[in-house]
Order: sequence, then C-alpha cells, then structure tokens
Amino acid sequence: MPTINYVLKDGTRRAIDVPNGTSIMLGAINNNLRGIDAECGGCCSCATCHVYIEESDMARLKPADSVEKELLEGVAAERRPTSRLSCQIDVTAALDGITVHMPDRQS
Amino acid sequence: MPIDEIIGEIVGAVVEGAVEVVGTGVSEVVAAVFDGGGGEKKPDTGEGLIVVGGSYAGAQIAASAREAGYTGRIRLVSAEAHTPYHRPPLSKAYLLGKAERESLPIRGAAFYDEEKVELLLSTPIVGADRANRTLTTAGGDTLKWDRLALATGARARTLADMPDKVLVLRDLADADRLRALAADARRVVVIGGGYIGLEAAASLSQLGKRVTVIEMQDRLLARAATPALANFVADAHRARGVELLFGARDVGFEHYHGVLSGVRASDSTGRAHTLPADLAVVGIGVHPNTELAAMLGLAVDDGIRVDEFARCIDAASGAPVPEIVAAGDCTRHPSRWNPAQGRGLRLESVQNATDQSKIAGATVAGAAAAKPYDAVPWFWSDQYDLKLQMVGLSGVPDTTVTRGNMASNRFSLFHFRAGVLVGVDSVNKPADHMLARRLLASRVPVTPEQAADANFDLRSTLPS
Ligand SMILES: Cc1cc2nc3c(=O)[nH]c(=O)nc-3n(C[C@H](O)[C@H](O)[C@H](O)COP(=O)(O)OP(=O)(O)OC[C@H]3O[C@@H](n4cnc5c(N)ncnc54)[C@H](O)[C@@H]3O)c2cc1C
Ligand code: FES
Repeated sequence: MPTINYVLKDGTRRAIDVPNGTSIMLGAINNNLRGIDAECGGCCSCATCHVYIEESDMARLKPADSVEKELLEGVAAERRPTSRLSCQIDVTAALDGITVHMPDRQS
Repeated sequence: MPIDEIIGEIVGAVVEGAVEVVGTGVSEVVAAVFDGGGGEKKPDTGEGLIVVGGSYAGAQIAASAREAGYTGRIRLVSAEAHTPYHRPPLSKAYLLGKAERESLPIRGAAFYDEEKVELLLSTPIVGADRANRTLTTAGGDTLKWDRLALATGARARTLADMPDKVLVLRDLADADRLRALAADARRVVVIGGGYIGLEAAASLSQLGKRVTVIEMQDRLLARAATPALANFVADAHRARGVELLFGARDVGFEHYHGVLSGVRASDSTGRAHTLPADLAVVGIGVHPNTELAAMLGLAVDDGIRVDEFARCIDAASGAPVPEIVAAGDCTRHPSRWNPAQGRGLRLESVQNATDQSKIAGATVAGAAAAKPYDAVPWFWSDQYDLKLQMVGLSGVPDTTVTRGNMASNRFSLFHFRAGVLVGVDSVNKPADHMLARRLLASRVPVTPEQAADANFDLRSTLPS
C-alpha cells in the first residue's frame, strides 16, 4: 500500500498507508486527519479538499484536468502552483512516499 | 397525489406562503438570543447530546460540537445500518459503477473513535418526550438526553400502488436495489424531472437503457432551476436519446403478477399513454422528517422551524428552545436569500446540511460561539459530461445574461432581480461558480453588462 505523508496545519506529520485506487482525500477522511473537509465527497464540486503538494513531488502526479484547475481558482486558502484537489488524485504505487500539506482553511 | 404536491426536487426552495410567521423575524430572533430565548435551561445530567439522523447534518453537528469545545457524551443515532455516507454519488458515479461503497464515507471510523462519538446504527427513533428528555427506539429502549439535535433529513415521496421494480432513490439501500435491477433492465421510466430523476436518467441512459422521463409540469426542474437552465438541460437529455414527456397527469403503473410492466400517464391534451417499462424510478421530491419534532412540541411548518442559530422553536410560545437544535433537509430557517421572504426557507442540499450544522454544533457547545446562519446557498448536479453548479436562489429573475457560449456547453447564466445579482447557474464553468459564490457573499454590485462581457474581469469587483 502506498504511504502518503500528510502534514497537518500544526506541522504534525502523519505517514498513512492509503489503499491503491482510493484518493488522497479518502486517505485523510478515513484517518480523521483534520484539514480536509471534502464536502462533496469527491464529486469535484466543492474545492474543500485542497492540499499543497510538496514541490519536489509535483512531477510524480498526473496534471490537473481543466475542471479541477478551474475549481482551484475558488479555494479558500492561498492558491499556489502546488495546489491540488486531493479528491482528484488517485493513489497508485507511483505516489508512494509523497508529501501533501493541509492549507490553513477550506472554507 | 394532487399535481401541486408532486413537486420538483432538491433545492426545494419553497417560496410560497408569503405570510411572515411570527417569531422568525430577524429582530425577534436576535432579541431572543440576548434574553436567553425564553426557555429555561435544565441542568445537565451527564447524558449529553443525542443526534438523531446519521447523514451530513448528523455527522457535522457532532463534529462541530466537538470543535466548539463540547465535552459531554455524544451519541449519533441512525435508522440506517451505515455510518454517514455521501448521497450525491448514488444517482451519479455509484449508479454508473464508477464509485463503490468504500469511497462514500463522510467521516472515517477514526473520527467516531477519536472524537468519542458513539454510533447507534439501525436504530430508528419512534418516540420523543421533551419534559422527560427521552427518546424511544423502535426496539422499545429509552434513551435519555440533555441536549438533542434533530438531523432527520427527508424521505422520498412515493406514488400509490407501486409494484415491484418501481423504486425511489434516497439511500444506499435504494441505490443498491436500483443498481441490481438496472443490470437487467432495458426500458426505464423516470417519474419526475427534478435533479435526482434527471441524474438517474442520465446515468441509466449512459448504461445503455432506453429512458423516458415523465414530468408533471411543462418543463424540467420547475422548482429548482430557472427556465433558461431547465431548457438547456432538456435539450441535453434529448440530444442523448432520452425522451421527455411534459404535463403528465394520472400517473399509474401496469403490472404483471405484481411486477412492473408499464407506466401509464396522460399528456397535457388528456391523451393516455402507456410506456412499456421493466424499471421505474420515482423522483417526485421529498417530505421532511418532522414527526419527532412534532412529538416534542416544536414548531413544524413543512420542515422543523429553527432560528438563525439552528435552535428549534417552541410550538406554543414561539420562543427558541435552547436545548434542541435541528439542521439539514428537515429544517425551515429564516433566510435573506429567500426570494419571497415568506415563511422561511427549506433547502435540500449538502451545502445547507453542512453549513447549518456547523452553527447547530456551535450552539450545542454554547450559543455564544454560534454565528447566525447566513451562508450563500449552492448546489451541483452532474449529468453526462455536464457539470451544473448553481449558487444563490434565483427564483424568477427579471434579467438573465449569458457569459460564455451555450453551444460549447461551457457558460454561466447570471440572474438579476431589480438590478441585483441573485443567482448564477454554471455549466462546465467551475471557475465562474466559485467566483459567483464570492460575488454573492460579498454583495458587491455587478451589472448585467459586466456579467455578459466575457472580457470584463468580474474578480475586479471584489473587495481586495
Ligand atoms: C440520489 C441523491 C443525489 C443527491 N445529489 C445532490 C447533489 O448533487 N448536490 C447536493 O447538494 N445535494 C444532493 N442531494 C441532497 C443531499 O444528499 C441532501 O440534501 C442531504 O443528504 C441532506 O442531509 P441531512 O443530513 O439533512 O439528511 P439526510 O441525508 O436525509 O439524512 C437523514 C438521516 O436521518 C435518518 N433518520 C431519519 N429519521 C430518523 C429517526 N426517526 N430515527 C433515526 N434515524 C432517522 C435517516 O435514516 C438518514 O440516515 C442528493 C440526494 C440524493 C438522495
Ligand atoms: S471533495 Fe469536493 S472537490 Fe474534492
């Protein structure tokens, strides 16, 4: 199972094994990691599952599609080049070990 | 069922009844907060908070109560066998087989453990008593509470005499049945052209079924969308082979040994049709679950009446009841977004269930923390490759302008009443939608000319 490193708002790091085929968002929800709200449950409609990807890990992700990119314009926290919607990132072996950071707010 | 009861669907912004109900005016509510709300608060006995209803509202009330510092016992009681899960995918990705049960939880198991929220699943509550602060389960057990949260949501309306293979779609059990029956179905009739019916129609048609939607009104989404958006959606369905029948009357079912064989309806000219069908989905709106509130002596008016702090209202005195809150689809709340400013607003949306429950949870933890509920209503629906996102309550706008290009399936409709932006419907334009939420929340003036001009940067109107 790929390990995803989540950095919470207070700086705490949590290394979580997230099953293949689920999403970075579900990994956080299933482990009660604060900082991801995911109000629409992964329908790509709410932008409350915003995360920042560790810059050096960016290249390992498939780029965001146009819907995700547009939705990212509406995130509550600062939008950065490393901003992604965690529900749109499918977990695969290729993502093993990546680090994602929670933004300061989702709404 | 009378036609006027066969209402459209989600975002049931019920705006009829222009009577201001005494006691829900903003000034009364504010006064009530400061004088303690009129109801005397009984001492806590250690029983803590019981939340009835395990969905968006229930889970969020529990989470927000904890976040606001509530340390008492919390029990989340639900009639369903599942921990709270996301319903919107049930008519979309889940029906299409693109999402599974494991991808639906609103909160993971760790949440209930770590936040000490006890789950009582498969436990319908059938009785409630305010004087003794008890609930009665269907199994005959008595549960005691100090604070109570009603998050009972809504149930799907049904039609009379529904034979086998006719279903409503409200919960996971319905969705599992629908998925199983859809596997062998060829001709499907969807009764009701609201969001859930249309999403089911879109998914079933994508699964290769022949789908007809019958609607009682003369257009789709009669309660929940502007005619401009509804017409666009109707064209989209027709273009993908779904048949639409409007002005339907006298809907009934034909069956063979109790199993559906066809759906009967007469059209607006009175001509009777029988549509052969081996599966029918009834999506004709919902009933708020208000029975427990009524037993508790709380005000009910097609929804449990609450104030801006999500507190229930005493039916006799009209005063807020400090120890009982309610949130989500089961409630009717005062709202400045309501175009009719009438008897308050009943919404059926994830946004409302989530945002109102944040207030309810804070109220449970100590009313001082609670900000009045004033969030901008928004909603989405996914049909085929169309992402529809609606914000505000447009009601019947007097001016509508289009931003973007309708023919390319990427545009937004900006709706105005008396020169004021009241709502925006976006199709495959999430950026417009996200921006429109901010425009409406900050109430900056935007003109129809600016909205219609794709070269005008609407962000420039926002306070920086
Ligand atoms: C198929 C479908 C698709 C949807 N799509 C969208 C969408 O795309 N976007 C959107 O914003 N909204 C959508 N909605 C609406 C959204 O799901 C609801 O607004 C939301 O679920 C409301 O949450 P709630 O917690 O208020 O109530 P509900 O979700 O109705 O939950 C109420 C819960 O309380 C339980 N309960 C009720 N009475 C009792 C009792 N007496 N004892 C114990 N338990 C009880 C019920 O079993 C249920 O679990 C959709 C709904 C459906 C059904
Ligand atoms: S969970 Fe809503 S956009 Fe990701």
